[in-house]
Amino acid sequence: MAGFKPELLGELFKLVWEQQAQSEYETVLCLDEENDKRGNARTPTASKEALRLSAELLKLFVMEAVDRASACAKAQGDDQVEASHFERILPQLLLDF
Amino acid sequence: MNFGEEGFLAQQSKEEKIKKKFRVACIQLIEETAQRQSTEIVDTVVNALAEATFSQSRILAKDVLQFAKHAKRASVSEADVLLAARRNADVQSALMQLQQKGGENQCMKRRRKDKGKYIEPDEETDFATKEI
Repeated sequence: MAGFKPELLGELFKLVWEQQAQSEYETVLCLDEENDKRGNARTPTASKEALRLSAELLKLFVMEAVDRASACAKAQGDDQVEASHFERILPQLLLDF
Repeated sequence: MNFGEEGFLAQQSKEEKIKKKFRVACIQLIEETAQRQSTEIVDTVVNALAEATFSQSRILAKDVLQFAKHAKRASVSEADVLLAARRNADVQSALMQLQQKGGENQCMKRRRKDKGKYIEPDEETDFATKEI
């Protein structure tokens, strides 16, 4: 069955964390040199299990979105899932995840 | 970490590559799920969902790192991911089940190592070969 590769998520996580650290560096470094010397130089990592669960979480997100949108389309008697169905289920989906 | 303009441009192209791979996997999953339900999804919705999923994964990355830092750890663990799934009880229980299955697999591997007897891993729980 299709899904997300944990390795790909690992790369994505690292990228997001680098970007976050960079914007923190630009805004905070001047004021917080102590903190930086102490430990922020260490790049964070994620365990294999964590990545595996994250892959599953995102897969559930996608499957849930498709399920809800298609149920919405069927309830309205449409054969294709269109933007209006997706818009309708999106708020609750985002609240649930 | 390279903070100059070159670093920024390199990071941008890295992001584009990762995003492309992510989109491909996402779209494949969307189409497979739709097929199993015998529904059709228009292209604009497929793209919109892929974008939403990518944004969701970015938020997940930030959340799990904050949880790990809150627990004074440098490395993100399963507990952090489970915490990120706290909003929906069904999602959380699905993840916990997966976590338990993973734990059983580890136990079986350890037994094999200790006693030298070959134990067939359960087909259903062999997650290592399931992902594409």
